[in-house]
Amino acid sequence: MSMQSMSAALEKKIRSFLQGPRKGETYELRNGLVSQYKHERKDAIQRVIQAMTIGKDVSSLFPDVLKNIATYDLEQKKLVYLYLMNYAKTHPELCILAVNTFVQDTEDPNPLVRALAIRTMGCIRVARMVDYIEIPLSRTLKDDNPYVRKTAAIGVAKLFDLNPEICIELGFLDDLKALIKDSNPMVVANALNALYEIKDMNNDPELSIFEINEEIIKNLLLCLNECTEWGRITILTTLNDYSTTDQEESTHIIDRVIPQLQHANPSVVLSSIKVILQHLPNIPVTAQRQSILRKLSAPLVSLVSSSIPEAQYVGLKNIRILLEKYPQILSKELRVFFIKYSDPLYLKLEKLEIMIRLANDNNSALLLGELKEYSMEIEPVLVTKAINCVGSVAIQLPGSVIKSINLLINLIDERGGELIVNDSIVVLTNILRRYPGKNDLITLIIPVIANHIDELNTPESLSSYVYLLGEYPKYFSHLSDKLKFLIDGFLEFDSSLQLLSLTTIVKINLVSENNAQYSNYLQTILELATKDCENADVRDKAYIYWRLLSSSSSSSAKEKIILAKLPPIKTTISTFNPVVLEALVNELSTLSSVYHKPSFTFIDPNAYSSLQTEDGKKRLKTSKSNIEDLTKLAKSEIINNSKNENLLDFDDDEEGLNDNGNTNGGSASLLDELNDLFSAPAVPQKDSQAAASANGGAGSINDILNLFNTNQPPPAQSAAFNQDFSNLNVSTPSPSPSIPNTGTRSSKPSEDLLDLF
Amino acid sequence: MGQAFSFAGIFSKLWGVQKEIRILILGLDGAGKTTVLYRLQLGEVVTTKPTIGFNVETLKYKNLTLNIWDLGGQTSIRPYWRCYYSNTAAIIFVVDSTDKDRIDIACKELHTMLKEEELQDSALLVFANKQDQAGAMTAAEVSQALNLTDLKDRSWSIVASSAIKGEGLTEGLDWLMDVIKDEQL
Repeated sequence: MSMQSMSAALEKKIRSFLQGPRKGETYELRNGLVSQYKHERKDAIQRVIQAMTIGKDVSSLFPDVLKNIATYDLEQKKLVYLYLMNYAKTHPELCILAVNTFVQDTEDPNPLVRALAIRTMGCIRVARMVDYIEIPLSRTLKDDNPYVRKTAAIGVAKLFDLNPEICIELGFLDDLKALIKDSNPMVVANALNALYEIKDMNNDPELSIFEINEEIIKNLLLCLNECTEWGRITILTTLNDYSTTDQEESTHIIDRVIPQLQHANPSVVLSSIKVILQHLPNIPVTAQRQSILRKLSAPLVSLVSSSIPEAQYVGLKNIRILLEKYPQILSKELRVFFIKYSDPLYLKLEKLEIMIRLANDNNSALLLGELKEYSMEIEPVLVTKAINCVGSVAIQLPGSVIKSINLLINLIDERGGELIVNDSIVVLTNILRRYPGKNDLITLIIPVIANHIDELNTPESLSSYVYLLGEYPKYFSHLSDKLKFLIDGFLEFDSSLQLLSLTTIVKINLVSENNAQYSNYLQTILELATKDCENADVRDKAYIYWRLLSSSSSSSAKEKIILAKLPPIKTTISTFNPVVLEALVNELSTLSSVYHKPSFTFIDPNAYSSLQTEDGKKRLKTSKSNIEDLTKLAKSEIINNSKNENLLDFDDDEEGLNDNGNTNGGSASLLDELNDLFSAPAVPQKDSQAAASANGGAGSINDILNLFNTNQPPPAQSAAFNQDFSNLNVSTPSPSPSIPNTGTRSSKPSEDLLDLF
Repeated sequence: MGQAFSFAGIFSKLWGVQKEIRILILGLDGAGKTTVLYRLQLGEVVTTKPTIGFNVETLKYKNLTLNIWDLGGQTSIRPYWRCYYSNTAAIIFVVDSTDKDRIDIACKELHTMLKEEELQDSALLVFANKQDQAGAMTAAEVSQALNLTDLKDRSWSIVASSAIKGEGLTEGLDWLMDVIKDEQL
């Protein structure tokens, strides 16, 4: 009974296909498709495909197009196959009508038809097809013609995607592994590619997809030169994944891969570089390693000479990773990265990133000349970046400081304008922070800043100015007026500027004691900050100062705390943390090298298993291991930071006060804290990916996540300012908006401080 | 556009392009449809597997171009036969004469099919196939089992055949050609 009703339903459905409208385009096309004349049928098929490619829905013609699949006309066959691939999903039950033709076509004398048939059959993502694909697929995998074999190899991956169990059960995986040893390089490359696809799709941990051994590697190296570019990339990826400690083997691989550096395809070039770098450490002789590294510079340059800006951009992003690992690799190639007038903005900015990393004493004059040109450009982002780069050069190369400063001062004088003045003053302050207390620099910089105070209007530039005011008060004339300006405007200031104004006035009071006017200012600002200010951090800081100043401790103790010198800025060029850098070098020429993020941070590990129901446990496992990775990254980041004395905002108070440089203790307690943070949310989270769970788990984790931001190239000036603030002698909790504050954190250091008294 | 097609038809006749005559070979699975088709086309016996879908071959016979469709006969595919009914000049219904158990099913399928509007003008040729095997029903017995005498307003014929030996096929086809020629002219 149910069978009958089912077939009745099916009958109705088929009938509705056949009874289309009796006029209109579809009706005409249908008539053409079933015409009694061959040429009319072909003409109709062409018109159907035409309609399909411009996006018209011609799926209702499916049964009629399908009738034309069996033909000796190759052109017509291709068109029908194309149609079939496109609309198979809309009529899964009708696809079975094509099976017989597919099977016959895989026996066709023409290899093109055989390959076409197995390719199309694999592309029909209909579950019922699986039942019929065994015979044609195993036949084409053993075909005499390599073109058919290489197409069939991909077919195995398609079948695996559709039904992994059947694919393994019918032994296709083993057939595919056998193809790696095929005599034809194209087949080898495609078989490898299919195996990689399968590896990505596979979610059965028991299943061993393939193992690379010495013998396979030898075969791959032989194939390398005869493959298409896609094949080469696949083989190079395999070579990169293959780890050996054997020196001879590594040398052999490198020797074989070096010719690929000349390839026209940037991806081949990048993949080759990746392989070479992977096997480079196995070469014991330093001179040999150096000579191999030198061979990489020309291919890298070729990446930037591409005519496509997008390709150049990808090249530049990859070069930046390589430069960090091997800074010397392009030391003579600065000119290549000069900005061209026609470059799009994103390319210009990325080129600047590379240029400042290539700066050395030999090319600094040339580089500064270029940077000056760029800072005269129209695009504000480029101008800002160029000015920041001048600062980076000055900070990197002590020999170029005066030149850089003069360049900026000239720029302010000659060009002027809000943007240039504001940005230049931030940069000049940073330069002074790199070379603190140098009289010649101070006398050069301070007057310029003093002349342009009225033009400062960004919180960053005002902060810079106020900081300098507190640090070098005696170089400013009319100091009293300037301080009055700070007090008058205090309540309207940005909170970061409020904090700095407070510090500056306290500092000035301490150095120039017994000045009635200044102590008056001090009194006013402390009252303003404690009574009228809405920001808790500002209030806290004011209270701390107040208590400190009114305490009975000797003035030298107070000076020690309040006037403690900041550690000099080491660099304004952002760097990757070593773990991230390793990951990125290993993922060169992939999307992660463009994002500058390791792939696991943006690829959902469950992307392929979302349809499966039974692997909930596995998912949990992967998300846990992800958290472990994340923790590892965060830990190494913290250790790294404390080594660099680039201290985080929440532990520098301990440093400043204890004064015994207990760096290890500080970071160790931080690590404990971090462990707590990670262990807490990891347990309750069930299925969401690691990043999400970390974000959602507790707001405080945001802080940790923000640590990673420092890996990314932030605008150099804000990075510098993070340092500025975080290193201020008394704790200034999280001045930068990029590091969200948690209440517990900010109050903790203050409590610590209060305990001292 | 329909008119344009018919104009094209006239032109192609003038230029000697042959109009194809569509013939369907139907029947239950295992009746020997594919063997019949390739016996007619190639003149030899091919080894066949169950047809999932269809075979189609073009064949010149007595100055006519025949477009012969052999549709799979499995239960799951039978519903799709109707996709192929339009513009069909004739139906060749192949019956396994030794399969007495399923002759009723064959009868039912045949009569359901013949009720289709699109097939009202099509001629019917029944092959009582597998006559080479022992215990095969004769053409008359098959005719009776299929209730062929009930058919009105339709040219039909039944021929005893053996696709393996090639017997009866040409006779059947000759009859069909005569009917088609009559109807075409």
